[in-house]
Amino acid sequence: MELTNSYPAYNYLNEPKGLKSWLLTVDHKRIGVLYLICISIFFLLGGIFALLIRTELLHPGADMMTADTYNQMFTLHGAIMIFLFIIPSIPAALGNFILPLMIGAKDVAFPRLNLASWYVFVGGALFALYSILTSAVDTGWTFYTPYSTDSTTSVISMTFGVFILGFSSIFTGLNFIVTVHKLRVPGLTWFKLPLMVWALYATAIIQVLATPVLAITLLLLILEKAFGIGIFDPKMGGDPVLYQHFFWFYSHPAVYIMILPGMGIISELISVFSRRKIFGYTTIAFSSLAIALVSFLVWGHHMFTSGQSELSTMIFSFLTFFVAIPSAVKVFNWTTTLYKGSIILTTPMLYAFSFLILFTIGGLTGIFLGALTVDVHLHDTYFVVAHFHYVMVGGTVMAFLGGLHFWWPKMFGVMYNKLWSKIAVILIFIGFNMTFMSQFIMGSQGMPRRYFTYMDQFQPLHGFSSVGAYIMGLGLFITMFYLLASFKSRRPAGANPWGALTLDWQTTSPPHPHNFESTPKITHGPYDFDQIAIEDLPEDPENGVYVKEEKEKIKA
Amino acid sequence: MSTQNNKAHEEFHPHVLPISAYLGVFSALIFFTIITVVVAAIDLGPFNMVVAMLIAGTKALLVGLIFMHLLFDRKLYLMLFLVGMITLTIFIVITMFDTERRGDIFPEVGKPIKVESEHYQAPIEELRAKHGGHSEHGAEEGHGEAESHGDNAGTMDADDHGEEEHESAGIDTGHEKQNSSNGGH
Amino acid sequence: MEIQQTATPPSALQHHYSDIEQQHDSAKFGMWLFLVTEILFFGGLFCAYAIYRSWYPEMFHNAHKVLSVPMGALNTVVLIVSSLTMALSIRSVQLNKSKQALGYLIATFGFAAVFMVVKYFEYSHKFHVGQLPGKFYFYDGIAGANPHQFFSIYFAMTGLHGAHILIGMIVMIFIMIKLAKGAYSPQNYAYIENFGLYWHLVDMFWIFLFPLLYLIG
Repeated sequence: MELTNSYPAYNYLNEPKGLKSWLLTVDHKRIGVLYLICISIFFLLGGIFALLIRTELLHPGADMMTADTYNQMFTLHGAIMIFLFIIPSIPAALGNFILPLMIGAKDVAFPRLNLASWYVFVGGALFALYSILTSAVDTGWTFYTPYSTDSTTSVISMTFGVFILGFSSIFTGLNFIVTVHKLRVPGLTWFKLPLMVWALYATAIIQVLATPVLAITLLLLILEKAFGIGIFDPKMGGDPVLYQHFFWFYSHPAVYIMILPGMGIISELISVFSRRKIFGYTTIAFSSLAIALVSFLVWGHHMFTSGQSELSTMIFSFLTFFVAIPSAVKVFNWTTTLYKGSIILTTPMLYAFSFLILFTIGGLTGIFLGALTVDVHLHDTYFVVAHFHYVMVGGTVMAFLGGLHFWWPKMFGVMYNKLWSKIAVILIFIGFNMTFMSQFIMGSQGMPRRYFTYMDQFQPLHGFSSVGAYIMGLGLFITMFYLLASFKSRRPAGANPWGALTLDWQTTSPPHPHNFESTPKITHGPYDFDQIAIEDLPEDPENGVYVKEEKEKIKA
Repeated sequence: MSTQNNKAHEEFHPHVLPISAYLGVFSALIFFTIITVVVAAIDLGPFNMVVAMLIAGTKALLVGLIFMHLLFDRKLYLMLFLVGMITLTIFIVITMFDTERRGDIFPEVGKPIKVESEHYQAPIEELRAKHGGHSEHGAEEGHGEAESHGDNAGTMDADDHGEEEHESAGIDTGHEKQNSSNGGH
Repeated sequence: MEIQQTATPPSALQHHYSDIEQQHDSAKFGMWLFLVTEILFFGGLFCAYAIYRSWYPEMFHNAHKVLSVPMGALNTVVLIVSSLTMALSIRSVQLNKSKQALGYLIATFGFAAVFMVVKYFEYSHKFHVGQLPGKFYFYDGIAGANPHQFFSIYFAMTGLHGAHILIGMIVMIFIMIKLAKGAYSPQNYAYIENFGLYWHLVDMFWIFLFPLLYLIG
């Protein structure tokens, strides 16, 4: 079937019409878009908090906020970014849109549950926002006892909000697992699945297995705060380190909920934009599952200095190093895929390169922190802050932005501005490194995290870091503007502007309300660039359709 | 696991168990309930817990395999069930590597919770007078675990190791390296 | 371009499934995943239980004596019977006997209600004498450290379990209405079957809670 490259008149965005049809939709694509709108708002909000933090830290001393306000700022930055942005970003927004398309399904297995998960998400977010408006939490996003039990801020509404958000995450994960098992199009066997699907599948497993433990943790924390049940609160004979066990049993795997789908996106980008079959498909697929498995065994490395037993610290430190293996397997496979590929430097590919560099730095510094002796020196310093921002922002957010730019034409059928998108990615990359590379240095010199002021000797580095944050913020604002402008310009992207081979590109952009007009056929693997003649692909993907069609016109 | 291979028959037939199977399992469950109550009255020392859990496990297995059809359904569901149980076991066992072994090498680390964590004793009379009203009095005698009273690490003078002040006597915090603020690695 | 409407599917079949078995399997698969989350949700409490029991064995032993074994045992039997009637109700639906299924389900509902009534008497007694969680604890008569923690765990575990029973009872009412309307058939009974799985799991939790809380040797 020939796909039209013009903007299809009949697509999921305009059929059926009306706000009600959007709010009651069970279409996974629309739910993905709804999620995308929400997480963009929260990304903006969390980003504003980040900029406020960096502004406060431009100079030592209380410049624009008190210590208490600062505590609230970094807590809200962390809580919003983690629970309301990163965790739902790739699985719930992009994944929801792309997963059924990639496996040739008409929808996810439980469309109504999918919609429910969005409403649950909104409900949880409203609770969290309510908490911000009444009295913002100041405990850090981890809600450690006894901070959280002693704090006079509205910890209960915030934790209850996060408790609700957990269910949204569980519903999405549950839906994805069943979808991948049950709704693959005939002929699409497990080892023909795109690696993004494998990554989302591994993510979903973690979501289903780990999130309930967060739910019970937060429930117990609420009970602790309300009734003083004495499980976590030392004042009542409880054990705060036990809280940390409970919390990190979810939140460490949650780190992989954040990064695994990002790795899936990178697998797609690297293969498509180097026009090479992905190197080591099976190892990448299984390394996703291996990461999911290992993620459940390493939570105690967040607690090396919390007073857990020496035996535990040794076991956890030992096991932590195993995470490096599947992660490195992926990085090696991606770099090998690039080797002798016809690399096309599109915006998504620039994000993929950013990911490769930043994630590798983030991963390697994680090994420092996993080593017991080094961690005693580095824990709770800016080194830790820089490490997880390199993984979470340098890894997940870069992958998210890469994925967003990659699937933007598919989601909305329009192409964004090529020049501005490249300016933005460069600004973000530079700004990010300025912000956090300086924090590695400060951390190794002993600058502790979560302080609203600091010694004068750190001023140059803090100033540098803040300027970096502004540059990064500028890059993200530019991104916001050109992406929104792409709706106005209405430059049709065409069905397959990047020349990708996965099933999601074998339908119109934006897709038909039922995804495919007829059940797609599997004629080749997801990365068989060695079997598809290179002439079939657009020469300049970012202008792909135009160039190709105009050439054809000239020929004619 | 491709699902489209049953075009031939659009109908699908539920697996129905004979009523006797259900009744058999039911009698076994009641029987085991009686056994577990009886056995609990006998003191077997450390085996009390083992026996009780073995009986409960058997009962759960019967419910799972017959009532929940795990024995007859696709083995995938049995696998899921086991994955859940294994994950839970990992959680409990590895957490207990910590809680049971504190102070193995440096006894002073484990001391507060092992020996000196006695004890929060509710001020009975006061509470009884209030009949359930809550009281903070006496609550300060918590055990020595990371009781840092909400130093939110927002000020420079907060010690990085969160050394605590204890009104209660006998708890030596000098050796502790408690820090409840080392969040998100 | 219009949506392609192929041969009208059976009303129970949703558009994105190719046949009813695929749909039934998916629903059950999803339910099992949900049950796994339930296991881990309760699991956190089992973990807290294990740790505090190992820290304060004497206190746990002394505290459990105030729980009434006859009441606990009665509730165990009541839940096992309700599990049986639940299983039989599903069996009746499988055999296309909706009336009989409804009868069994009403029985299940009744036993669930009995469970909650027994629980109510247990709770109200504890409220009265002050065997309460955390800082509300004012009972005087349990030797050992921090007896309030036992009741925190007791109330958290049985409370969460009771909440599951209540939720189950609410869902049961909806299923009863549907059964009375004859909405389920041997071709389409995933909903009631999945509810049965949930109910058995809740029973299974109680099977563990009973010896752990009432029968500490």
